[in-house]
Amino acid sequence: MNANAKIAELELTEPILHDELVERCKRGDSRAYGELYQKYSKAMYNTSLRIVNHTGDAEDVLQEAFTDAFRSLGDFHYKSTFGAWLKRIVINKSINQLRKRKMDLIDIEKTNIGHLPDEDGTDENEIALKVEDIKKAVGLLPNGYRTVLTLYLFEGYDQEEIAEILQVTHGTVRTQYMRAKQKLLQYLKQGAS
Amino acid sequence: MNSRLEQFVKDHREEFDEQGPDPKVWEKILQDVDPGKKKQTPLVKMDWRRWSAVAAAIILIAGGAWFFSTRTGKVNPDVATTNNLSKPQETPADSPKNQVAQNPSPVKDSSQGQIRKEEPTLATIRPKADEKKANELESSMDEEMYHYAKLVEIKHNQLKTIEKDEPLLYRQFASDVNKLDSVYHTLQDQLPKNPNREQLLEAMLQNLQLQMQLLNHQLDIIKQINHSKKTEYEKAYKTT
Repeated sequence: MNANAKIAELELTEPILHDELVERCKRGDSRAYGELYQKYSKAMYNTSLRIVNHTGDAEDVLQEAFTDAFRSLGDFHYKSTFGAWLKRIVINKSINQLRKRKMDLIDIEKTNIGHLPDEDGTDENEIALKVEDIKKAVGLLPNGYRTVLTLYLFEGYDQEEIAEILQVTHGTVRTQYMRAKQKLLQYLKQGAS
Repeated sequence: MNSRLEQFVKDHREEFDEQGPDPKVWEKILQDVDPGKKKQTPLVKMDWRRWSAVAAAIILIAGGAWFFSTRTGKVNPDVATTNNLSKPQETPADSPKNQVAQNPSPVKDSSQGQIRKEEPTLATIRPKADEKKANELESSMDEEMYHYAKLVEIKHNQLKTIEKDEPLLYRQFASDVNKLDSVYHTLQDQLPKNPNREQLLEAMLQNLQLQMQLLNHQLDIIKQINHSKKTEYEKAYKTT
């Protein structure tokens, strides 16, 4: 308790209101677990699905993430919202899942360096944007691009945070995102024409 | 730069999350989380404080054993190197019978000064492999090494999450890992100087694997602690 208070002071974090649902879980209320799952499972599932690009894998990630989160609720100290905390678990597990499948997240940068800038002409304004088309196009992206793009575009992390999550440099994230977006727009254009 | 695409996603964010997971996922989570259903009876009842004490002891012993086994495994060549180094002044053109002597000794000399005993020996155990083979091996090893290094990093970060709750335990765990890690770094320092890259890389790889095993072990223990903490809490809550 004492230590926590000190930490809060040091970091000057804004106190986040205690989540009643989370508190009930901490007390071992099993119904609260169900409610928490209901509240977050869909968003978390889609977050994972966009990264791993495979429904079975995304479900595995979801299961593991919730199990881990429930078991380690004691480590959750409201330094962020519960949702943000859970999301980090989901994202880390999703990335691990990709790595397990031997899809190296950095490799893509090397292999794609050759054919990047020539397609610069993809003008965003000419492309009709539709949710379903974008979903499909995201699924077509190579793993590294998709991960960076997803974290930035859908999950709202900034580039520094993504660099930290993926353990790469800020610059890498930046270029990867630019290329990923370019590629995505290309797919959308091809799909439209 | 807030482009059209980014704005569009922002405006339609919820529509991107419409797919739901299979309901079975929740059943599996329930099974995992609620061990009460399985009616498990623990063999020995222990509270988390005792768990952490036991855990620390195990890790200390295991870490120590690993550390020593990496040292003692190489004790002979080590002795050979130091022996060689202590004598060459008398007979500089000593017959190059063993491989240790084949290594350019001036380089050895300078590195031996700064770097702790166990490292130079790792590279001098087996004869140099065929050059081409070595190169092939090296690149695949590099890849593997990268993979492990990443894993170790990730696990390390996971471990950090307990720092707040159990600072003592964390420090204990971290110091064990750091011991291995410092060996790894000295190996890495050796790498550009040492002619026998293959051996050295192998040693580095082994070191990373050990680190990962150790971290896995530690994380398992933490998981157990957390688990027992929770059930303890649950029990207390339900009985009152």
